[in-house]
Amino acid sequence: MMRRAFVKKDHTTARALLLVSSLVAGAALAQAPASERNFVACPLVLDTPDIPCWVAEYEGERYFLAVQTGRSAGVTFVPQLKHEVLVEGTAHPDEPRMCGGIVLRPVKLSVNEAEVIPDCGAILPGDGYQVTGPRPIGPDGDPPGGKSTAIRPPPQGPSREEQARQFQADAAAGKTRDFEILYFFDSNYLPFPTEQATVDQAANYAAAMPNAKVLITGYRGQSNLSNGEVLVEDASLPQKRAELVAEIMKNFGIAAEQIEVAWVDEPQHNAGVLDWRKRRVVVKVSAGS
Amino acid sequence: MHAKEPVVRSNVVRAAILVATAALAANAVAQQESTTGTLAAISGFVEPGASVLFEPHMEFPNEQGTIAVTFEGPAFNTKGHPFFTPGPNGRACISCHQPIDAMSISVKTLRERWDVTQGSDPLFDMSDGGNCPNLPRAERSSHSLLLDRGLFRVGLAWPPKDAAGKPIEPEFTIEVATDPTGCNTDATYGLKSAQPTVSVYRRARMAANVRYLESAQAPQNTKTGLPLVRDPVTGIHSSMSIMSDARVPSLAQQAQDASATHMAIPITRAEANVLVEFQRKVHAAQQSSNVGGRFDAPNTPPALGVKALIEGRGNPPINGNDTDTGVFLLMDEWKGPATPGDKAAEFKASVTRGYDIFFFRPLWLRDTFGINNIGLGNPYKQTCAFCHNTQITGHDDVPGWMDLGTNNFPHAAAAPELPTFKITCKAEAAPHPYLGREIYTHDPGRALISGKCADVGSLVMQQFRGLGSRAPYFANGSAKSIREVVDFYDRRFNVGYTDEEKADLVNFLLAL
Repeated sequence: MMRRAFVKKDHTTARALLLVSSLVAGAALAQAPASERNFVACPLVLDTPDIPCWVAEYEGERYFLAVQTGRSAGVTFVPQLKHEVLVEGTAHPDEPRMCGGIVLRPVKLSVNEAEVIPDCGAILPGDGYQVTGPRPIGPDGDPPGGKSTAIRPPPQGPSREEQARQFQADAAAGKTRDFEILYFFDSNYLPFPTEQATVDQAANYAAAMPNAKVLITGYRGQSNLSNGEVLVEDASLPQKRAELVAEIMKNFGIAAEQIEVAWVDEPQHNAGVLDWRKRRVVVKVSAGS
Repeated sequence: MHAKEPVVRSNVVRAAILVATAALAANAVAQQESTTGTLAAISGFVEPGASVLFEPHMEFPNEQGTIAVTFEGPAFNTKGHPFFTPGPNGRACISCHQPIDAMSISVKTLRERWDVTQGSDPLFDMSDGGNCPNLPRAERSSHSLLLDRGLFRVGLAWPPKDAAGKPIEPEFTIEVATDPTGCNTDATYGLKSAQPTVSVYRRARMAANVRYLESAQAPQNTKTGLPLVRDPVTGIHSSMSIMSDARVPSLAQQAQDASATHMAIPITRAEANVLVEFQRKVHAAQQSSNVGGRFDAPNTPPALGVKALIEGRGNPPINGNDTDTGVFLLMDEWKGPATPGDKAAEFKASVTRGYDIFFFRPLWLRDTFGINNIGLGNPYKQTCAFCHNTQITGHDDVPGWMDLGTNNFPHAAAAPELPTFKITCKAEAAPHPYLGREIYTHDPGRALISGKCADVGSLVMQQFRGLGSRAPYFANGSAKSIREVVDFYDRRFNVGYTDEEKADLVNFLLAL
C-alpha cells in the first residue's frame, strides 16, 4: 500500500485526502484540547553541553521534545533529521523551559520513515542552553549525571523480585493477564527495550501457565492534531501488528495452536489526548480449558 | 542463494581439471611435505596439505612487531586436519585464513603468492579468485581486485531466497550502472543470465576469536525488533554477526557455505562442526611492538596481547560501552607522561591517548542505517566505543548490519574498479532512511539477502584484533592502511581529528 507522508501545512493535496478519509470513516474533524500539542514538524537538535536536546517549533512556539536518548532516558526514541516527526504531547507552559522550549510530558515522537526529506531539520548551536550533569557524553549512552527534569523517575512499587514472584504465581494459577504493546505512528516496529520486553514477558507468562491460550489483537490509531486535522494509520497495520507479535511468540516457543490472532480495522483514538495509547497490540494470556 | 559454480560439461574436461588441480596441490604439498617443522618456523604462507606442527602459541612478524596466533590444545600436525586439507580445487580453509595474516589474508601475502607461483596457486582459482570466471586465469589483470584490494568474488543469486528456500520478493530493482569486471553484465555469470547472479567483491574475515562473534545477548534483534534467526539444526539464536551480510546463522553453516563455494566441495554438518571446534580454539592478536616491547610483559594493559582473547568471556559477549567495563578494559598501566626521547614510553602514551579518543571523544554519528534509525536519533552524539562495543574484540554485540557509507554513494571512496549498482526502491517499500529511493552502491550488502531497500549497502561490523597483519581494511578493501580507516571516519562524520589524534588512534588500533 502506498505510504503517505505526514500532513504538512502546505501539502494541500495530502490534507484533502486525509480530510476525505476522516469523513468517510465517520470521524468528524476533531481538534485536540488546548492542553495538548499534537503536530508535525521538522525537528531541531541543539548541540548543548553535556548532551544534545531535541526541540520542534509549532505555531511560533518552541517545544522541548527530549534529550538525546540513552539507556535510562525517559523517551527512548527521538527524532531524526531528514524526517518529519509527529509530536503528541501534553504541554506544561507553567514549568521551566528546557532548551528554550515548553516541556511536553508525556510525549510520543513518531518519525515518518516513509519519506526522506533531505533538508528537514538541522543541528543548531547550543545557544547557551545546557543539559547539565557530571558525566560528559561517552559510553553508556546515558544522559550525564542524574536524569533531566523532563524525565520522571518511575513510580515506586513492588520490588523486581516481588513482581517476578507474583508473575510466576499468577501464571501458575491461570490468572488472565493482558500485555499491551504500543507503537509509533504508522509503524510495525517493536521499540527497544520496552515493547520488546513486553512481548518477552507475554511469552514467559504464557510459557509459565499450563495450557495457556493467547489471544493477540491488533489495532490501528488515529491522531487528532492541534490544528484540527486528523492523521489515520495505514489500514493494513492491525493485522500486520498482530501477526508479527504472534510470530515472535512462536519464535519464543509458544505453540501455534495456543495462539489466536485478531484485529480491529476501525482506527482508535482518544480525542487528541494520548491518542498514541490506542496504537497497540493487546496480548491476552488466559487459562485454556 | 549462492551462485552455482561453472558447469563442467564434459567428463573428460572435469577429470582433467581434477588431475591438474590435484597436481598443483600435490606439488605445493611436496614443497612442504618433506619439512615436518613448525608452522611458526615457516613464518610464511602455509600451503593446503602441508605437514607442519600447529603449536599452542605461535608468533609472526608484521610491520609493528609480532602477532600471536594461539590454539587451545596440544600441538598437532596439520596433515590430514580438515582445516588444512585441500578440496578438489586445491584450496583448503587455510588458503584464505593464514596465521601470518591473523587468520585472514592480506594483499601482501596474495601478491607474494602470485609472484612465487606465477599465479598457479589455487588462491587464484577463477571461480572467485578472479574478477570473473570467464577471464583468462594467467593474466594478472584477471585477478586485479584480489591482488590490489584483497577481494574475492561473492556471487549471490538474485532475487534472494529465505532460509527455507522460498523466494523473497525484493523491495527494489537492481541495475548494473558500471561493470569494470564485466561479470555483472556477462551472459553466463551476470544479472541477466539463466541463473541471475549479483557479483560483489569482499575481503575474507578472520577465522580467529570467533567465539566472541557467535552468540547474542538477547533473543531479539534489538535493532529491528524481530526475533533473531535460529540455527535450523540446533535451534540456538544466531548472533547474526557471522559473515559480512549475516547470510548464515552459525559458524557451521559458514563452514559449509565456504567449503561448497570456495573449495568446490560440499561438507556435512558433522564435518563443519569439526572445523568450527577448531576455530573456536584459535585466537589472534598483536603480541609485541617493535617500539613498545612485548604485550605479555609486566605492567601491560590487560586487554593487549592474545591472553586477553583466551581468557575473555565471549559467550555471551560483554558490552564494553560502559565506563565500568571498557571495550578494551583500562590502559592505566601505560598512562602518564613520557620522558622525551623514551620511544617506548612515548609509544605507550600514544596508545593510551588513542584509546581515550576511541572511548571518550564524542562525534556526531549521522545518517548511518543500523544506528541512527533504531531510536537513537539522527544525528546521535557518541563515541567510537558506542558502535565498537564488544569487550576485547570491538565488534558490535547487538546483532545487525550498518550502512557506514563504505559501499554507498555519496560517502564511498572512489572505486572505478568496482561495479556500481543502481538500486530503485519500489513505491510501497520503506526507503533507505537517509539515501531515499534511488541509491548507487558498489555493494548492496545485506539487501542482497533480505531484499529490503533500507538494508542497501549495510554490512556486519568486523572485529578489531590483529589489524596489523591483515591490510587492506573494510569489507571492500577501500582503506589500504589503518590511517586511511581513520581518515575515512574523520571525513564521514566530520570529526576534525588533529594529526596527533590520528597518529594516536592508529597506534592504538594497531596494538590490538
